[in-house]
Amino acid sequence: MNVLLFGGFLGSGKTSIILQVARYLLKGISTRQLDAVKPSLVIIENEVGEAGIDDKILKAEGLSVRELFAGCICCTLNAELTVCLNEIQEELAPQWVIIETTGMAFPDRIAETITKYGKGIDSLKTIVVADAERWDDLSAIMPGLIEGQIAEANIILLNKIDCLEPEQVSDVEESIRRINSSALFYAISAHDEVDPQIWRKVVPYSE
Amino acid sequence: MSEQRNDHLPEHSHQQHSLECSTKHSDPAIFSETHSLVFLEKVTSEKIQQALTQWVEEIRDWANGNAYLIGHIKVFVDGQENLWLSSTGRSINIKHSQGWSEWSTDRVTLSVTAIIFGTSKEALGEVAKQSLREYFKL
Repeated sequence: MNVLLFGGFLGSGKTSIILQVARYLLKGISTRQLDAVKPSLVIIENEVGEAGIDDKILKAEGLSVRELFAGCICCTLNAELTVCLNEIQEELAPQWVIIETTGMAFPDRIAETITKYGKGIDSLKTIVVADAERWDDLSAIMPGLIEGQIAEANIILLNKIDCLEPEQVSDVEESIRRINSSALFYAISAHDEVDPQIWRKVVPYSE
Repeated sequence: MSEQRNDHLPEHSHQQHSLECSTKHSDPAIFSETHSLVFLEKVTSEKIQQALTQWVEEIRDWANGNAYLIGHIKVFVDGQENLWLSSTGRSINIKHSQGWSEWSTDRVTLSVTAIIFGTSKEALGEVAKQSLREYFKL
């Protein structure tokens, strides 16, 4: 089971990106596996608020979704996430599990929990989505959260670059690099279809 | 408005439903509701979209006008066809299923969530509910 853990502030575009990544991954799963009763890709959706919206968007695309609501999986629902993940492994053993965190979560804490208590995990990647359009505002207003989300990411996707001039994108990249210089970095606009070459690098099929 | 991360703060043991993990100085106000709507007659998707876009605009403009930080405002219309609206304070992103534009219906399930920093749950709820009442007689 390969786990992709998505983090990033509220409104950064996590769900839009997950939709594209899920479509890309499903293309790489063989027809025989897709025909099987058990899904090859399961999404765990953690949302703020009573009315889940992202889970409905993903379900409307025909994706298999488990919800964890009314709390944050980096803290209050920490144990529930482990239980949910291990149930998925035991019942379905999918090739891929995508976890969408709330925009308020610290993904590194979740990664730590999964690494410690998760069963049957072959690989775990933390992918953090940064909002290019609001980078300056958010990093000024909530530096602890924004930097904390990015600091330990394996992959950083700078989204909404269509809202900035190229030189502004470079400035944001530089600012992100100062927080995390070792992560793979891609600048994208999930408003349109992202170049599959990027997904190929982010989530290679061979894993 | 500012915040800092501190892993050693007691709040990280957490009260139920708290989001203090990332906002020790300021929890956001959250308005999140689901409604099953039944209309007296069939309504076009265009009208539904127009009303909901106005709802998002009103929350957005109210938040911006008061210098509150918008986490996000999201709307999902669930029916035979789907509509998804979202905003973080500037433009409104609109996505829908393929047959949405030609669709009309007398019932939908409406899910709305607005997460705003700097205001109270009561103040946000008042604005959000007032607009929903205005457009959908809730």
